[in-house]
Amino acid sequence: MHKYVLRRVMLLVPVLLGVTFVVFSIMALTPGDPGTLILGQNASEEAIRQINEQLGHNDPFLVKYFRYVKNAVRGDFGSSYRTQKPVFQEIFVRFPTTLKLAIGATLLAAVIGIPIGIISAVKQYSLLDMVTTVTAIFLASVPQFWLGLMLILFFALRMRLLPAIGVDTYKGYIMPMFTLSLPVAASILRLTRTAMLEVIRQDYIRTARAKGAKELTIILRHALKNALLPIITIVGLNFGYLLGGTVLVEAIFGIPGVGTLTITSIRMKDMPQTTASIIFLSATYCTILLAMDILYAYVDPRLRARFAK
Amino acid sequence: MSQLQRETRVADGSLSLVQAKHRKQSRIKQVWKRIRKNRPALVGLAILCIFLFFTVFAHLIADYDTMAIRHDTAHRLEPPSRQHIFGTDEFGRDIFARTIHGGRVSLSVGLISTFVAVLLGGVVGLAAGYYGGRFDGIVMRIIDVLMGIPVILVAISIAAALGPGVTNLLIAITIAQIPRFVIITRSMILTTVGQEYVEAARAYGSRDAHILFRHVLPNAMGQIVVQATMNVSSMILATAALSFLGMGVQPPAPEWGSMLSDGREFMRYSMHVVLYPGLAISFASLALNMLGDGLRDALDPRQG
Repeated sequence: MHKYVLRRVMLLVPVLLGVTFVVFSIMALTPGDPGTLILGQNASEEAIRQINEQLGHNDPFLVKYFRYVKNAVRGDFGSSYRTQKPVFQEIFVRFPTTLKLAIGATLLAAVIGIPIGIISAVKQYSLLDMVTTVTAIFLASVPQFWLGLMLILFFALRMRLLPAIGVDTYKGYIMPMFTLSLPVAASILRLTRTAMLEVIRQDYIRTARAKGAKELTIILRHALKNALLPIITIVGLNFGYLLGGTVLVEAIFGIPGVGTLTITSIRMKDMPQTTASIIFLSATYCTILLAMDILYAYVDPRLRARFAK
Repeated sequence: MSQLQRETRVADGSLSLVQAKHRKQSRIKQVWKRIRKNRPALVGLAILCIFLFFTVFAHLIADYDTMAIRHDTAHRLEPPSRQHIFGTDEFGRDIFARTIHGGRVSLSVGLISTFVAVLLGGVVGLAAGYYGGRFDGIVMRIIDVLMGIPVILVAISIAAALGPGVTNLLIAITIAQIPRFVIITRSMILTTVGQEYVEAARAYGSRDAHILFRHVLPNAMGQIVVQATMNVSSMILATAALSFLGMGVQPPAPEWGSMLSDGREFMRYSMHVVLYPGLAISFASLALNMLGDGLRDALDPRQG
């Protein structure tokens, strides 16, 4: 088992190197040079050329890439063109906000999705099941940024219950979290329903019923426990997805997280900052996927038995 | 080849051809029969047809230049009325006209990007799944890397690197979803390749191309179509999202996402400017999801 975990963790290294290469290559396609971006359009050609020379902008692509990786291994991902500060300084300041948002939204989605999914499965084809299924499909189709705008319109502008932008108080997190979590809750709900439906038809459920176990015990202990694996997976996958998905929601609600940082630096053509932000978000995403895989191996007795050999 | 063998082969070949044709027809018929019974799928198909009708004939329903582009400051931010059924925006342009013309961009980017991604991703996934071995190993390592970056970030960074515009948006969105289809096709092929009929075909001495196109692909195609249908919906959302962030279609051209981002300033007193483009995105995406769900059920062999 430990060997499996170690192997998976080791595999993360080449993946992250690859991610760095892809992101770096995409960014290299972007027109513009650091000199002009740092000094502005009105700076003298000489000064611009000097900065470009200093930052090694005119070196061949591979030379630039290997220099980047070499520095990155030492923890130096360059400095922002805009603020001249090390790029990770800004990322670390903003990451807690993004993380809070993603964790909150994932928990909220699980709290909404799993119970309703279970009820929907237990009462299959009832009115409630139909209503939730249709609502879930609709929520999965609504664009998050529109949902966000509609929430702002009703709860902030019309009813004045919540702040429209910013996360200065806990109230500021409510709308962004709902915006992020509703589509995810919908997908968790649908998966929980399917997983439960499959389990409910198994023989051991019939046996539990036959021996006179209470319905609630049957559902929670016998059925849910067995349906939990795919549910855990989708919750984990969505957590990773939400880290990327916060980009839009942060932009709508004016939240100072890594997402807005990425968008702002893209707009400003602040290449070191953009590259580092995307690499950082991707690395976090990969780590979560890995953690899910390992958790899965621990939770599933079948997998555990296979790796124990 | 002996006379007997040749005869068997001809007889077998012609028989299987007739059978295959018959089977193909009856399978499509069967799927259609099941979809007809599936109400949500039918509703999805109907909504999709309505969208297609309005976007295809958008230029006949509302003139692009005079209604969707030209400013009319005398009629700014008018609520829905008989003349402007969705109202007008901050420049007095008809929102209905902009929504149906905008649909052209969203729907065509969604459809074209998915089609190209299915094709490119499909070829790679097919080759990787069918041949396996080292090639598969290399492809999967590359895919591992590409899947390590959240799709929306891939699309955003490519769009940012290429600059604004519909073509660049299309390229960004297509590239971002190729890895997904490599994985989907590969896993479909892997399940099919293990089947006995493929082994039989191989033992029979069929060529790779024959096995792939006759036996493997037709059986894997159903699931790929389902995934592609659902994917068009996600790509419509992604197109709108990128335009919302200012990376896609540029003004004054209409697009659902950019209409939302332009309208958000005015939504407090004129809700219609953000309501209708948002509903258009939601319903287009909803229709595709419902149809995809129905297709999946219809193609499920477990269904009687």
